[in-house]
Amino acid sequence: MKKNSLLYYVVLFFAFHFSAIAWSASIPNDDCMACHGEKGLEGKRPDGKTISLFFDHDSFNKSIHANLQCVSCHDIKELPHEGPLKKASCSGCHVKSHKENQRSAHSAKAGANQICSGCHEYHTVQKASSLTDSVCGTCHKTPYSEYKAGVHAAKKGGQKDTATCFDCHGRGHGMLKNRDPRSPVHASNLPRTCSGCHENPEIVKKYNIPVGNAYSQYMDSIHGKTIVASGHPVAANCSNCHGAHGIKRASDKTSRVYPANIPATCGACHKDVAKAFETSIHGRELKRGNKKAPDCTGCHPAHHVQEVKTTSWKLEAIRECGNCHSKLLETYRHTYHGKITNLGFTRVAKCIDCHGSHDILPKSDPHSRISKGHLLETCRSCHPGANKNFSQFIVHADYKDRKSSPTLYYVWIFMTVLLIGVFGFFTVHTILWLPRSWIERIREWRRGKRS
Amino acid sequence: MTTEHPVYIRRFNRFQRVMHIIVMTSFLGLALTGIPLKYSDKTWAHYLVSFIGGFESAGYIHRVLALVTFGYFLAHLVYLFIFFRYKSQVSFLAFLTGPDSMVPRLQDLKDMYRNVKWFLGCGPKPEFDRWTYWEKFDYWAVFWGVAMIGISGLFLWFPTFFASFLPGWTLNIATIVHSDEAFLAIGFIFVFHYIHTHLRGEKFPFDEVIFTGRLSEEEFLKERPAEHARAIKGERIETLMTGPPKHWFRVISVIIGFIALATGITIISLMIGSLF
Repeated sequence: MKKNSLLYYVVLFFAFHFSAIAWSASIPNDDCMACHGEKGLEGKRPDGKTISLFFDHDSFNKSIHANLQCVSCHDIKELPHEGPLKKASCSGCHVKSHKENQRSAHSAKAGANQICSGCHEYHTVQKASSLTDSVCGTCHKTPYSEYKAGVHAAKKGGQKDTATCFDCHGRGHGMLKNRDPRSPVHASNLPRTCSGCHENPEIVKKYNIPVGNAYSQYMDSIHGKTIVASGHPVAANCSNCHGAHGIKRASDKTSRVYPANIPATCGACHKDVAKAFETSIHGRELKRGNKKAPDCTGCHPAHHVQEVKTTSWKLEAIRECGNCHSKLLETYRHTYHGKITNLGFTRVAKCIDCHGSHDILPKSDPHSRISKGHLLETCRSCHPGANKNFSQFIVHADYKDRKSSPTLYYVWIFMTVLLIGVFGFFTVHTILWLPRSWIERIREWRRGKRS
Repeated sequence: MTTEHPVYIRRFNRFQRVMHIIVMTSFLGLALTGIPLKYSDKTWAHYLVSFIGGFESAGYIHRVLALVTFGYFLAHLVYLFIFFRYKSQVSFLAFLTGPDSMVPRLQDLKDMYRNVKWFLGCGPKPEFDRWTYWEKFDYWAVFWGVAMIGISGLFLWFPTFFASFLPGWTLNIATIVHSDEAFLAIGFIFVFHYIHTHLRGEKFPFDEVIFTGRLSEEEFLKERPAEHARAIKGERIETLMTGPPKHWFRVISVIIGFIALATGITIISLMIGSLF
């Protein structure tokens, strides 16, 4: 393959030069400039519009094509020529680019002949590597303006690593639609595309990107797994949460991932959940601007969202609650419920079984599952025979706190004294006994040996 | 002449020996199925509970063994009644306060004082009767433990029934009592009972008397001189005398005993390891 492609380029190189020389021999540029060097030269297009036919030879000389002849692109056999001319074709030389272009989204939209100049201009064509984002912005106005307002466009202090249009959509002529599975921004490829920078340890370190292993976490999440399994963009990918072009830091109040905006972002798909969350104590506090209130990601780790039906998530959810409500988790672990879940089983009551999940409300709220009016009903969902007394069980009992539950406190004190008393006494007793009993044993053994 | 057929003394009857086997196996089973809850944050507890077959299996075995416990507790009370009614020839008061009784006496305090002096080398070894003070403690510890753990356990087994006539916070008390009493029982049996009866110098590594029911006359005289003197005085010594236990019976006793010892020591090691 390599040999073949090398041969191809060698042949192409010579063919190009010979043809250029052949044409140059036929009509030199100076002949063309004899007419087109006149500033006032005008002509009429087929649609009747008058256009200038003046050719700015100076700017052409600065272009990458400065060494080419006019007739290299324009199909002219002899002078003077008739007008209007056929459209200049780039494909005569740029065979490969042309072929790629024919399969691209641009080609489908614009038609093969017009599209080169859309990005490369006509006579002032420059090196491809010098093209910038603004070229795309000429047509894609909205995405480009979003991009300019986003974090990737902020090139503070001459940053060169932040993503440009090409870094995500691909550089080159085969630009594809985002719905095309081959596109680097298709749902199934986007995480890998983003991870090109966001999993790069050097870049992560250099720009202090907070989530270093977002890609591996995401691919292991229910969103990532669903996309991989189905091959369709049916679950959220990077851009669904962060936005595609207008990506902003989580600390930016206008960001889709700013804490107070997250319920709306997730709610784009999870509508009912977002609605329930809005009226919950967590949702209300978040809206009020309470920095401690959790957004969706407070319980469902942003990149590592797990399927809620799995045992691992049910157990993890308890710890998520405990991240903020640490005292309540501690007292829960003192109960049978808390111990069984700690052993890895989920059949017993977990936080959400009594408190609810998205619609969680404080005890004082009459709609709460643990309010006076509803508590017994909540207990009965597992203990059908429960009565009013049963619901007096102190779920989050802190028996070390004398004020909140004096009876439990004194029972605990009694048990502790009993334990310390018994163990203390027999520890001392045993420590005194053992040396003596072993001395006796050894003496007896010696006596037996002698006799 | 006694060297060929050493004389043995009967210490435990068949009922007592069978009883100890039942208490021992049910206690080990209850400890193994209950202790994972107390140490639910430890990896070994997770392994143990999975080995048993999950928390449902552990809970099931625990409840079955609880029934066994209630059974032997009741059987013991019935035994005491029958023993007093038909076997014992003394009055109820003498039955309770006599030297063959498990009820603590002033003599036990004296024995303990003398024993500590002996530990320190400040006096001779006290002359013990049928039950030493630490044996009485072992007995009452089980008596108390079964009652406390049993009652609190029933609360946790049938919470809605007990809450139908008692306030719900009694379930909180039951949780604390059951957990701490079990901790006390496990700690006491697997450390102090083991040392008292098997691991101290005179008995190490294992005292088989509770399984075979008999001990040599030489050991009897040394361990329980007061009881020996009583037997001689009452001319009862002949009725206590018996032959040595059969070899196969001793082998089985040692195997069962060592399995129980090893299980208990493993549990207590895991518990002590969890402190660090």
